[in-house]
Amino acid sequence: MSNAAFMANEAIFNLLLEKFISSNPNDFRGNKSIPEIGTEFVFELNGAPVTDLSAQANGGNISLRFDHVQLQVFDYQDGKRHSLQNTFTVHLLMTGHVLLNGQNVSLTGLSASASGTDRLDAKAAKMVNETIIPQFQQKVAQIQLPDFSKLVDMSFQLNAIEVNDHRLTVLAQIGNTKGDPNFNVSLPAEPAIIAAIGSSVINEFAAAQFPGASASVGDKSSSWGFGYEGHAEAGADQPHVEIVNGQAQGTLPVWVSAKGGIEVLGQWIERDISVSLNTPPLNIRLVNDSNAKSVFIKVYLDGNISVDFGLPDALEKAAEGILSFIQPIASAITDAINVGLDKINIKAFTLPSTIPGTNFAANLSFGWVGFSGNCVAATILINQ
Amino acid sequence: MTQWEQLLTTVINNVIGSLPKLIRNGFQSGSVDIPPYTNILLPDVVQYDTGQKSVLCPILYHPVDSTRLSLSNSRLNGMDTISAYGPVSFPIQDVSLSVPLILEDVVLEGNWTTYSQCQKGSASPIETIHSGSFVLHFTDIQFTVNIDLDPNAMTATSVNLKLTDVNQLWSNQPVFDATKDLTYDSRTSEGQKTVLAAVLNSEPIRKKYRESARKGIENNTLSDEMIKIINTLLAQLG
Repeated sequence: MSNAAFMANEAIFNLLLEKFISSNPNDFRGNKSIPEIGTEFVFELNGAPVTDLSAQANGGNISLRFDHVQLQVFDYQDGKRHSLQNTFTVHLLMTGHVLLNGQNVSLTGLSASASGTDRLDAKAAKMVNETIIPQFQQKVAQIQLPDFSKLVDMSFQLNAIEVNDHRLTVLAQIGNTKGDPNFNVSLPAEPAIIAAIGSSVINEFAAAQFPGASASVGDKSSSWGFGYEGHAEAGADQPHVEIVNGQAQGTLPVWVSAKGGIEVLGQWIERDISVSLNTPPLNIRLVNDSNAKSVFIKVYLDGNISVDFGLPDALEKAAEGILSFIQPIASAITDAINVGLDKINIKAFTLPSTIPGTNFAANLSFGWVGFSGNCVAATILINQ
Repeated sequence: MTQWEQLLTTVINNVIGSLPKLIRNGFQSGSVDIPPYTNILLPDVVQYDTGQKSVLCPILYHPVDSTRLSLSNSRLNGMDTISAYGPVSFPIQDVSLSVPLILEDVVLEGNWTTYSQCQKGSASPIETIHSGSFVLHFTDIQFTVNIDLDPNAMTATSVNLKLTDVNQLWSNQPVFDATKDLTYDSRTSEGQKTVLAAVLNSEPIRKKYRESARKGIENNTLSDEMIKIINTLLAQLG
């Protein structure tokens, strides 16, 4: 059961891995010296890998192509590195699995192979498998992948992971409602994440946050044994909102009751007044905070409630006066509902100052925010 | 040249450059322990028929058969004067390489013994023995080391050292100076020394020296040790 989803493109993996490797250079380089033969090998895995998120021939679901693995050969004498004799650039392909490990997205089971045709690539792959990966397996496993919880200001449970079409999709559950997230938002080429929250989640939050609305109006006029009165009450509760085919819509059950009376020679005759309600639909709008680092979901009444009253014959003689007492119920309940709806403040998306879940500073911005399918979705761009 | 060939060239050049020291001192790295390649004992030459009835008999005796020669305790030194005199080439891309090498000064030393059957009148022949030592030099010996690699594991599987004599100096080796290169036992007369010097410097015997020296140069022990050294290096890459 999932009602939210996160989708990451390959570019963000490239960016993350580049940041991780460049900030932990010692974990991705090594040297071997053979003093007796005056030789020292120095190898270094650097540069940004090219990520491929798709099924791999060896059963993995991710490959990282490193085209800038450097192997240097130095003259080594008297326990010291001397002149550089040769530099080689080899091409490696690391394959592995991106999987859900508890509540974390992790990268495991890496193994290297040659991605180039030169035999040195194969030798380097062997070197990486035998030297770098065992040595740095723990570090590699610690490569911080996007932590999507930093993007959504709601607690959620990660349920499943899917890797296909060169993107990673993580399905999550927020709250208790059901509803498969369905959205159609394109990932840009640059590092980006799409976060999508199903409308069932918004509905659950809206219903929980709406305090209810009620209003009453009425008055009485009496003089010398003749008079009239009118009273009306209204209430609204349990809003329902949803997003269908990218369009937000919703309903709010509103009830209004009214009664009126006339006084003849000091005797009051009271009757119920029939009510005909016209309730506008609910709608959803998305609101930025002042620095555009968060997106809030607001629910609003898309218009004003109007009420038509049908007075019984017994009240016709004072119809004008009675109506003047009860007609304000429409605007009163509209106001009350608007006040109640304003209490609904769902903080949907928020942008951290780092690549989500990492310590790598980045400038995150919203590329696109809106409704798609049955979700409210945001494309979050990550710039270095 | 592929990158793999470039790497091999660098590695092999380092190995060749390190060989003089490794030959002198041996090589120890991890589980690989290679002893020095010096004072290499060569097979004895036993009673080789020189085909010459040399005048090496005592007074009043005359030779009745050709002189036989033994070379014993022959030892080779100077393999540490090795160096490359040309670039590494790859007869088969990536998996077979060849390096032209030269030995500047190889020293063959050992003991010689001559056996001459001498007869006095009609008496039974008796054997006259002369002995001494020799120290010979072979210079600028050109040979090639051919290295084959396992294409899968990319480790050296065979190393062959073969004398090539491109400079055509080998057939004139060793350069022989009887006054310096030979010693004689105390019983040897000056006349006999002259005869012995001629015997020991004769082409058949010089050929024997060359054969002995060739065995030391093309020795499988050296090939095996080079395999170990190269593989120790390549193993550092994984």
